[in-house]
Amino acid sequence: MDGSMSVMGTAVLAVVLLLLIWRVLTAKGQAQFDERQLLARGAAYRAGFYTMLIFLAGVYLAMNLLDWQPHDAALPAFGGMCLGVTVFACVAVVKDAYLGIRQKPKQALLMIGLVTVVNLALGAAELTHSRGFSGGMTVANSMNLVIGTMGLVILLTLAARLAADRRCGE
Amino acid sequence: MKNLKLKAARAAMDLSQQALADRVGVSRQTIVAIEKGDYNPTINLCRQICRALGKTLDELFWEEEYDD
Repeated sequence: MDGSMSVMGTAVLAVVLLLLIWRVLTAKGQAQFDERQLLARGAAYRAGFYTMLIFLAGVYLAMNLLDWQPHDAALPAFGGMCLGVTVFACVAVVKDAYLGIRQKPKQALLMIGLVTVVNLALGAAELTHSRGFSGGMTVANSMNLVIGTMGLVILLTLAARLAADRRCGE
Repeated sequence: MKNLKLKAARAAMDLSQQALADRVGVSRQTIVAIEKGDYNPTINLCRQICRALGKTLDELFWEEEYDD
C-alpha cells in the first residue's frame, strides 16, 4: 500500500513538472518583458542577491561572535533565500517590471493572494500545533508561514503599485 | 528631461499611452517613463515609436539645444 502510494505520488509530481516545463517552454507560459523592464529586472535581481548575501553574512557572523546556533542549520540559508526573493519581487514591482507586457494585473493579484492565504493558513495551523515553535523553529515547521509572509509583502507592494499606477495613468 | 514632443505627437493622434504601448509592443509604464524623461529608449525602440506615430527621429527625440 505504501509502495503504490509512493509510485502514484511520484507519477502525479512528474505530470505536474512536465506541465510546468511545457508552459515555460511554450509561448503561452512565457511572460514578455520590454527592454526597460529587462533592465529593471536586472537591477531587482542584483538587489535581491546582495540582500541575501548581506543577510547570510550577518547571520553567520552573529553565530560566530555570539556563539549562537539555530535549531535548524538550514534555517538561516532558507531565510536568506526568501528575503532575497522578496526584495527582488518588491524592487521589480516598484519599477513596473514584475508583470510582463501581456500579463493581467488582476490575475496576478488573485494568484498571489491565493498562494498567500493558503500558506498563511497552513502556517498558522503549524504555529498553533507546535505551540509557537516551542520545540524549536525549523525549515519544515516554518516554511508555510515564511512563504505566506513573503506572499503578503509582495501582494501589498503590488496592490499599492497598481493603485498608484491607476491614479496617474491616462 | 521630459519628452514633450512625444506626448504632443501621441495626443495629436488621439492615442492613449496604453494604445501607443500596444502598437509599439511595450508596457504602458515604459511609454510613461519615456515621456517623463525617466528612461532613454534604445534606437530600435525610438524607431518603432516613430513608425507608430508617423514621425521622424528628429521630430520626436532630437533635443533642440543640439541645433546649431
